[in-house]
Amino acid sequence: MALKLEVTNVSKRYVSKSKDRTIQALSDITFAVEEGKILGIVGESGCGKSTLSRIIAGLESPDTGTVQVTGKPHPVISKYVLKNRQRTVQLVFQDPYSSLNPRQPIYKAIDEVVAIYQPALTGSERDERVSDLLGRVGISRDMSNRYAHQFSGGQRQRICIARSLAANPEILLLDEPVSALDVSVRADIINLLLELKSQFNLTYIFVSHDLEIVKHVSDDIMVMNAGKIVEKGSWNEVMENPQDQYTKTLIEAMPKLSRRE
Amino acid sequence: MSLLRVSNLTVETSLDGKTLVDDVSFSIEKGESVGIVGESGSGKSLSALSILSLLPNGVRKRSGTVEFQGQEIAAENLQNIRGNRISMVYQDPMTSLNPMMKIGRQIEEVLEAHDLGKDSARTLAALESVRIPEPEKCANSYPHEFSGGMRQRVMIAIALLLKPDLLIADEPTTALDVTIQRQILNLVNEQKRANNASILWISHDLGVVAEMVDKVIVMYAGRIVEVGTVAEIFENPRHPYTVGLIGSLIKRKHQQKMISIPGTPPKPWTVTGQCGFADRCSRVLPNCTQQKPELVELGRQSFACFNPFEGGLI
Repeated sequence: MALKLEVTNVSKRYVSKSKDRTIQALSDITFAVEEGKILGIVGESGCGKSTLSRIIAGLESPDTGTVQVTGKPHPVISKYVLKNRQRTVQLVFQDPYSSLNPRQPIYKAIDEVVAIYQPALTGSERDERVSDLLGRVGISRDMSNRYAHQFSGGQRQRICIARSLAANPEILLLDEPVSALDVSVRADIINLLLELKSQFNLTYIFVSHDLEIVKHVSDDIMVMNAGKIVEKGSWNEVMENPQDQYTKTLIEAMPKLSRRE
Repeated sequence: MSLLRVSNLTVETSLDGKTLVDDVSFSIEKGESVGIVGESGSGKSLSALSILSLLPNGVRKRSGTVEFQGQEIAAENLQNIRGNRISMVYQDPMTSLNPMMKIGRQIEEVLEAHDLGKDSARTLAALESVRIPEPEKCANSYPHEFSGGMRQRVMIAIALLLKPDLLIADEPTTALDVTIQRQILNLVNEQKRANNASILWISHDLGVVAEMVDKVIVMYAGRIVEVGTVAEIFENPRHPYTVGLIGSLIKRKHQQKMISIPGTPPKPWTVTGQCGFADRCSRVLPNCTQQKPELVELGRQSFACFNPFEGGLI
């Protein structure tokens, strides 16, 4: 199957303001994701998973190495090209409230993305597209003139997902998409994401610290620690037969419903 | 006699009297670990904070009593109980430590507040008991010099300083990484055993609760919906809310649809004269929207539901 995303030898180093400390956020990261697959990335805070997502999304450029989306090198996004280019990689963040403009009705939030990426559409065609996107994530059209604070956490995340789909992406980068949500709402959003993936023929990068969720959704899992990939493989290999010591520690540390002393 | 008994606790907003916690009763025995699980807004933290009269501004107790060893906790005896017989550990170890004060001093302050004087040997022993390397150096440092896990160890050291009978832990590991969480869970278990303390563990994480406690209280929209031992709650849940929560965790096939609960939890004060879960429930009966189900005891399990699962479904 065709490779959708290729990350080759990516390294990134940050220098502190006083220039006396450097942090190697990523060292020599290489991996690929096939079209239509879900890659789960797990690791603890500071392991470099967020830097990596930012680089894949083009929000940050690597010091060395390349990121290729469907074989084309993925350029760094500058203000000037942003408006005219169809973005193939879209992000969904952890906190859906801070990713929505509080002063904007959610209809507008999605409409403006459609207007940027499909400028040829007429007013009524655009309206139809916005309604369709909202419908796909289970938000009714009547609610679309409301503001972000009038929705629950789960609904806000649905809106953020609809907004990212408005750009017709090929890859969705999901950075802890359910971590900020109530437990009883998480399963609902995961179900929605899995459904949309097949509807829109998407490829997912699912970044999370929650091994249980990553195990459930991923085809392949990549474990990161201190800016390096310590292990990668198919989900059942990594979860059931981990080779790396750090992966073993991580799996061992996971609270389990079945484990009681 | 129970160590702690909370009876008919109701908490409301001070400004407009909106109900946040609705008629909650439970008890904790000596040496027992009890967990309260629920989502944000379910009232789990407010119930715990009410025990020591620590409710935040804008929220007050409307009615209900809290008895500790058979004696009602009131303004007169609060100082003898709080920090001494019952202590607390909070979610965020950065905001619960004073950033301007050395750690050793913060521990001594607790001793002084309880008229035990300045006792540096006891301070160091406390830090040692939670396995902080180089306790002298730690006592002489400020909170920002430590990682989140280390700060939470300091908080636990402070909470256990006076060997309390009950430790209330309000999501103490939610802000921590999994491997650090594991260390803290092990540490609390170890200390609990050493002191034969009771624990009230508040969390939204069922996995953590399953490991830490004997008895689980499930809260939803300000009310208790189910109470039972860990084994009963996880293997034999009766309330449809508990069934949905646990189902989504343990009954799933790779990349297949997870068991989910449609909709979102209601605000507790919007639920009047009906079951708070009725709008999201797959087993709703006409009765469910006409009256509030009371907590019914059946064997060692209690649940508030007119149409409970028969059990053994999971």
